[in-house]
Amino acid sequence: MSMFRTVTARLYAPTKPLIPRFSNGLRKYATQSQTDLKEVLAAMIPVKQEEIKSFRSQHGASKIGDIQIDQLYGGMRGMKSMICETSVLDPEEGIRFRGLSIPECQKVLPTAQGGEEPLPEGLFWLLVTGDVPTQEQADWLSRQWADRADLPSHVVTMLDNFPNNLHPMSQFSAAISALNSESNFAKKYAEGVHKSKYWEFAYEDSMDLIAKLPTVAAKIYRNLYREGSSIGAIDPEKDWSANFTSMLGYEEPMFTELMRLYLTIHSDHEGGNVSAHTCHLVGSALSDPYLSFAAAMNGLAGPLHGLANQEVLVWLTKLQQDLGGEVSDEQLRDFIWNTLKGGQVVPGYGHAVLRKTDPRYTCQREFALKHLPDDPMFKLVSQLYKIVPGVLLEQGKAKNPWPNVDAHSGVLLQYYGCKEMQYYTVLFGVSRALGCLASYIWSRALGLPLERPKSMSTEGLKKLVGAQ
Amino acid sequence: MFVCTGRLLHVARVLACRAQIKQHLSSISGTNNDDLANAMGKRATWENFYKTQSEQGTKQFDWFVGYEEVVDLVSPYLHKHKKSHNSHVVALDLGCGLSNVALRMCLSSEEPMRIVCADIVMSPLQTMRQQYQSTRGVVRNSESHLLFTMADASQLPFKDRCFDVVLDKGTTDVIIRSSRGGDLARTVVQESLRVLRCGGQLLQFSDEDPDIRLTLLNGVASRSRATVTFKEISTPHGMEYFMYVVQKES
Repeated sequence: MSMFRTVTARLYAPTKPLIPRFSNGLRKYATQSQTDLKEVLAAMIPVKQEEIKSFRSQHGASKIGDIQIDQLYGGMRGMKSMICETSVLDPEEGIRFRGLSIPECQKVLPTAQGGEEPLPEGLFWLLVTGDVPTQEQADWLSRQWADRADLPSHVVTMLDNFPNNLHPMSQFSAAISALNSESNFAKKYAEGVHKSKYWEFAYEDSMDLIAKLPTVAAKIYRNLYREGSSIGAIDPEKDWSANFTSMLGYEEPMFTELMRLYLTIHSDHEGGNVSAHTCHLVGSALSDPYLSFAAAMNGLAGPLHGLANQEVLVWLTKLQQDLGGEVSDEQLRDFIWNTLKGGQVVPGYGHAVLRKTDPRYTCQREFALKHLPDDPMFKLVSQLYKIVPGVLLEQGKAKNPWPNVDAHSGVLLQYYGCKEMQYYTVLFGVSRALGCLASYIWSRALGLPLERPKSMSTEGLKKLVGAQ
Repeated sequence: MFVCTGRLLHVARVLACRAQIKQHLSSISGTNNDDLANAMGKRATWENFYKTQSEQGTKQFDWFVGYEEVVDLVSPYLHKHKKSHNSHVVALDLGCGLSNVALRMCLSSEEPMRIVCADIVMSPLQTMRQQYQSTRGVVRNSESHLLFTMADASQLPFKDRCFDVVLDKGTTDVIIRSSRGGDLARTVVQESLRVLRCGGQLLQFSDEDPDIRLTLLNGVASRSRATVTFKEISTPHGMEYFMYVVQKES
């Protein structure tokens, strides 16, 4: 039995004439007139397979780096070791989704009607195909996902029976695993379907899962923080983010715009981070997308990966209390100076990867300047942005003193009333599904094998280098 | 190889303390910060920076990490060089600024060391030279020297293959932010490799993430018969730094 559906007539997108394309290896296909993502993929996959086959036949044996012992003990940092087609980090411009930076995405990706922020549906299309989608294609995804959003009753029962002290991320991960009763991939694999068809079922499961994640997430939110009130029905006319915010119980249209932005910018960040890597690793064993993504969420729940935006908000809240309201730049500078001199860090600062402010921070800042310029928490964040980099430079602590993405996200959420900091990582998780599952589909399409690196013991390493 | 005499440590501590107080006072004006944040790659920024430090009597300023961290990481390389050629170990502190790392290494080294301190701006070199002259009485090995010279990191005034080690603490970080950023940084790395003896190392201390810095360094190393490795440097105050090692083939 399925729940939370509103059935209305489906609209089919009329075909459109071809419009100018970006020229780029993967963007040669006549895709603008097709709105069915599966058909578009079906045409692309053989071409990409051929491209990789040719590349490997010419360069497959070429060496691209050395490995040092420190890297084995150091979490493989900097070690080139896997493929990820969907996003690459540009040292100057930040993350590029299929070659497009975030500011570029904000310019070219379709928005909701009357909105300004990009639709995550559009980003998913881009991640999967490498092409910028048309409005029709993004809207097609919105309707697909609205259609597929219902949950099986056993998952609803499970969520309703979790105790209130079970962390939202644990609930999220458990529910996602349990959703695999719906997995086409698992069923077809068990039936012995040919491996050339795996990607089709990976695609179906991924579309289903992405559609269901807001439903699961909203149910968790309502159970924990809104006394188990009903999430209501999915509206097939609303986009993915709009249905999500409705189900969460937020009416404010700007919160929906924020959600569109948030779900877009957290979607992917190369393949080596714990969540993306985990989904890839577990998926390589042919675990279905549900199990693979649930594993990724277990990684995201780890304090070192997904908790940073919560930590920032906790610190900011305490800072506001300690300072007792608005303070002058001078007073804040002294406070920050002493904090840093005293050997503590300012959360959100000091681990910058880029040589300038992360565009994921900047776009959130721009959102705030437009929609909540007078919010006291934002004004504090703004002040910190003015002051902290200067102090880090003055104390000689950093030449890369910029804030990262987590220094801002909690501030925007709390403004609209979403103050449950423990829940923020769930939102991050919903977004990350777009990147993880886009990669999962392609991994099956390209037949990437079981991932199995070679491990070494300390003794083995010593022998290798002739140490005592 | 390095022994810190009690007196030397005291001198260093007093200098550092005074420097910190003066730095705090200078923080009231914002202009230094804006330039550092937005125009770090410009020579004028550093000329102003050192002018301000000089006016306030600042005698020492180290970026990221100081002598204590650097000496532990650099010593093994210096040791190996001493053993292999058994004469003075020669090092270049590239973009030394007001760092006292070279000064303290030179004064504390049991084995004879020659360190050339180079910078593109004159003022910090003068300050460091004065400090050297007033403290060289306590040098551990009388054959150790410190030399000071102005130099442009992209066109070093040194012959090929004359240094065992090149130290670059925060220098490439500045160069990479100039208008010709990437190209100039690659040139600087190539120059460092040129002046290194075979088997020598370029040691870059930076806060830049390996994902970014390795791309730059590997690009140069692959064409210059050098290999790149790195070490993470954790500090008690939670900032993350790295020592990148570009090893020139023997």
